[in-house]
Amino acid sequence: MPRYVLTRLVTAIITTLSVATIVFGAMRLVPGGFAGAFLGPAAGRSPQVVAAIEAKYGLDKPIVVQYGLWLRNAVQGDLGQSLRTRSSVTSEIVRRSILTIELTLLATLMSLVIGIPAGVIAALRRNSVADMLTRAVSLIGLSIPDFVLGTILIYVVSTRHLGLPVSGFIPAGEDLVGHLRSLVLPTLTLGLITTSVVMRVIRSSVVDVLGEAYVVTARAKGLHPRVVALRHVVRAGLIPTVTIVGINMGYLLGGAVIVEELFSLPGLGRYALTGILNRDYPVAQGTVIVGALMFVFANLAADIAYAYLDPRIKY
Amino acid sequence: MAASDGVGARGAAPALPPDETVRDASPTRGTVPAGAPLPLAGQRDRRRPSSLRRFVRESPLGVISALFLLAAIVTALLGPLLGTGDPEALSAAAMFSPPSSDYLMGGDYLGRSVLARLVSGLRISLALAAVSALLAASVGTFLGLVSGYFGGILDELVMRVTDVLFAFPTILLGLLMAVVLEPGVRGVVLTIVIATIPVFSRVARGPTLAVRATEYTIAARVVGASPARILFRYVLPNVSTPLLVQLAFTLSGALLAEGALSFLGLGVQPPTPSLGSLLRDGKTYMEIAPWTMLFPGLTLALAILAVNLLGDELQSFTDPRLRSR
Repeated sequence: MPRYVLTRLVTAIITTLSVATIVFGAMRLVPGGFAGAFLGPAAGRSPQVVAAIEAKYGLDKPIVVQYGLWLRNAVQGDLGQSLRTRSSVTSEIVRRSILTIELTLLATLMSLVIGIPAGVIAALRRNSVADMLTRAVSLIGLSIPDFVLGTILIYVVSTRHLGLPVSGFIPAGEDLVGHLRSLVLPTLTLGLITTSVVMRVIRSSVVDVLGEAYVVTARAKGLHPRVVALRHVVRAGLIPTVTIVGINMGYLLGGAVIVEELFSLPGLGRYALTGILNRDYPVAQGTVIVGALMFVFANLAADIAYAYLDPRIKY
Repeated sequence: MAASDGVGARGAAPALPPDETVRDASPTRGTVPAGAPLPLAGQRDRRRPSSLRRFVRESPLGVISALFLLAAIVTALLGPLLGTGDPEALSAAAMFSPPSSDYLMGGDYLGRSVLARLVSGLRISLALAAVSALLAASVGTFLGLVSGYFGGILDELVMRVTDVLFAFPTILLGLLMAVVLEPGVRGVVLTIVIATIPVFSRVARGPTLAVRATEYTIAARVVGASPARILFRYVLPNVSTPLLVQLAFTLSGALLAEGALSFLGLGVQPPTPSLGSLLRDGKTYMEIAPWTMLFPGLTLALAILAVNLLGDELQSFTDPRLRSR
């Protein structure tokens, strides 16, 4: 087990480094050059100014040296400064990711609380009304894009005056109830797709387990169907949840960009989007790397948890 | 599951589970029941319509989705000929006008016909999705076939690169493309292609490994068939079923990705309509003219639903393990 964890950890670190390298490289392909982006519009772009700025940011050095310096800073947690606000990208990311992580956790919670029971019931009563309903809901849930759902929710809630906030955000420290209320619609929007995925995966996993020999044995030796269902089937059938939660992270991080933009929430996703639309390269670079990093490590955690839960996996 | 998530699972939307890479290696088309005539080249065509007829009989939902998609494609292609009007024509009278007999889906903030723009946007969205899905499918399949068949360093390299590509959720990739290429169509296509290539290469690689070891492949090699011939004549037909299913899920992922990126302002740029950019426009004015937002949104959701449903039905139709369920 420790060996498996170590190998996976090393792979995750290598993946993250490659991602960082790709992002760094991509930023150097930007039209107009990275130095041009630092300098902004053509105004005052005299050769001396360009040279001074390039020297200041180390842009006159060979690209390999630049990469080394940048990587050293990044590893130490310094992702540079925003070109617009001059604030530290790292501290902005840390500050804003709290909201994004909260939103992601709420959506995950929703998917588990609704998805697991629905999936289990659907599998245990296959082809019943409950099963048909679960399958229909999950298929429809998977097919409505989050930005369509969110837009429609905003429209319905605001025109019918349902009293839920459709935009903006109240910090938890100020007013906890208001804070949670401001996250209801974003969570619903973000959580519908993951809930549908959990329903489907749990259903098919429980159906798979139902066919296992040990379940047949448990039944054959006369255990009460409920005992078989709860102790033998559901416990094993829930294992894939771990993987799904890991994979959903990737969707949730992308979805956070959309949901935060839609509901004007000051999270990491919106920071990334404004950074990109404003051509604020250090912000874009930092947020994309941090997003990929979160995804890689969420999956790493899921893999390790999976190996721990399913004794059939060899390390 | 991780092996075959569409564009989706990594960002735009998780793909539909359960769709694992084929686990058993038995060739789906290669086997012939005892006593049956050998499948000569001419007879393959006679078998195809029969499986189509079987699909029609067994999967009414699949047929409905296929017909819906066909209708959407025909509408998108014929667009202007259907008399839906000019998507760019402005009319002060139609500005924010609710749906009426003149403007079936109402007018937008410039007094353009929402219906005309929807038809034209549908064409652009479908074309973008189809082009990127097919591009990703061909490159990804090729990489998967070659790396699975030849193995070694090449295989290792392809797999490591796909690992790294898997680490980018689609939307993040789209953001990156928007920085490097400026927001636009090129970025959308490239995002979908890069995000999906690894999916196809994995779907193709698994069965290739299995088919490579079968006796008929070894026999072909002994007879002197070239790797290209073996890959295309023996391996590809075995992989084509999971690839087809994956293509359906990729199409829905691509529609979703185009919609999401254009909605965020990183994809198709106004005044060009696409389902995503129409929704973005409509969102701004939804309180006074909800139809400008509702019609594109519903069209996109229905198109994705139809593709997903078709993929689902194809999957359970082609995978005997799923049939009984």
